[in-house]
Amino acid sequence: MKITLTVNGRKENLEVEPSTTLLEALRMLGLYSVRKGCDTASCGVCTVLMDSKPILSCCSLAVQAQGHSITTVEGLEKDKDFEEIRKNLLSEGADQCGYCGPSLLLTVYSLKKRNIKSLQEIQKYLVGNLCRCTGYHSQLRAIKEFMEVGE
Amino acid sequence: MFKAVDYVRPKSIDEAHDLFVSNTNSQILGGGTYLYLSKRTIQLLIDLQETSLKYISQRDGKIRIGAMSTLSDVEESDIFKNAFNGLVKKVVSDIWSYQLRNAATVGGTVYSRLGFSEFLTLLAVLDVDVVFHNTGVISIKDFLKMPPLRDILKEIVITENDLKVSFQVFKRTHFDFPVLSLAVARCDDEFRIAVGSRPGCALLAKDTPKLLSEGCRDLKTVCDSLIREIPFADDLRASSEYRRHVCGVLFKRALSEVL
Repeated sequence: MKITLTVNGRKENLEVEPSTTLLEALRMLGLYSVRKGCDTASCGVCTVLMDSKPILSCCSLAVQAQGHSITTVEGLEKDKDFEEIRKNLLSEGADQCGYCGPSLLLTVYSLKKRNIKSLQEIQKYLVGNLCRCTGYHSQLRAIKEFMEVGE
Repeated sequence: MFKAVDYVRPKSIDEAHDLFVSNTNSQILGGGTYLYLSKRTIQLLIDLQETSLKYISQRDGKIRIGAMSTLSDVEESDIFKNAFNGLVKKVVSDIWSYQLRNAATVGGTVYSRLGFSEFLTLLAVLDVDVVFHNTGVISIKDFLKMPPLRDILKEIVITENDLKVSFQVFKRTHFDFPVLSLAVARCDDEFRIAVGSRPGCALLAKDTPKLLSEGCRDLKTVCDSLIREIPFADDLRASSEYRRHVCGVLFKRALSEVL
């Protein structure tokens, strides 16, 4: 079936099956920052923003996303907050293999708009972003600075 | 992953209901966060996102949650900051990940009677009605015992009251389904006890609440009673024997909060 998705502010026309995942559809559009990982809603590497909230594109259907605004990191390249968190992560050496990077960036970016007050709260919102390289300490240092929270 | 032949997005519940009952191989689509694990071939997917079922309201001592509200909507609702001392908000905010809660719907959780759902275990001990388009209002107590209904869940209605409630859960890690969840509610001498992730769906105990209502306060007696009457099973997270043990521990903790 033919669908139209709004991705990074642009209308994109696609031909998909009703059971095509949003992950598959976004990769069809060449948005390779959206990664395929566990396919069981566990690892978080397929995270994208739907109407500014992070969701898992591996267990969302492309057809469901019609009428919503989808954002991937490609759509935030000129965003000031996005640039800040990206720089923080790089300066802390918090990105190694890079596979989980885009999903972490998007989740943290979405949290900036929430009134997060503690490191514990940040950790709670990030349980769905698994990273096999960093051990999370360097990421949390970068994120704490970005969110301007203490311990 | 399931296969779907066709997809529709009806504008009204009447339209969605007609499509659902006229096509025996149709499936209602909530958030879709659990459906993707199915390997079925579905003729028609009926997406309810344009049927105005996404709301949370509070009026006359009742909280109404539209079936298409997400778990995050519940978590972020000001209504649940205070209701039941923030317990509903706390339980929901501990479910899986932020990303999943932004998509998973209350209707999908309740209608599917997900065995691992902590939320359903809590709802089972509150005064909750589930409202279906055709069948009408059913108490959650009756709903949990019924065979699956070919009907559309519209909303759940929680009556606010002075129940003293304790919710206990045991997980291997924070980011996992529970090994067991347990909720106890007390109003004077009336008790309700629900056990979920057995691994089956939340189940209300019958005998043990009676024992407590009759004044029995011997912890061993009431724990033995609960473990005896609730069926447990093995799965990859725990054996039935382990679940029985955990049930006793969680029950004692819950009683210490409500007695």
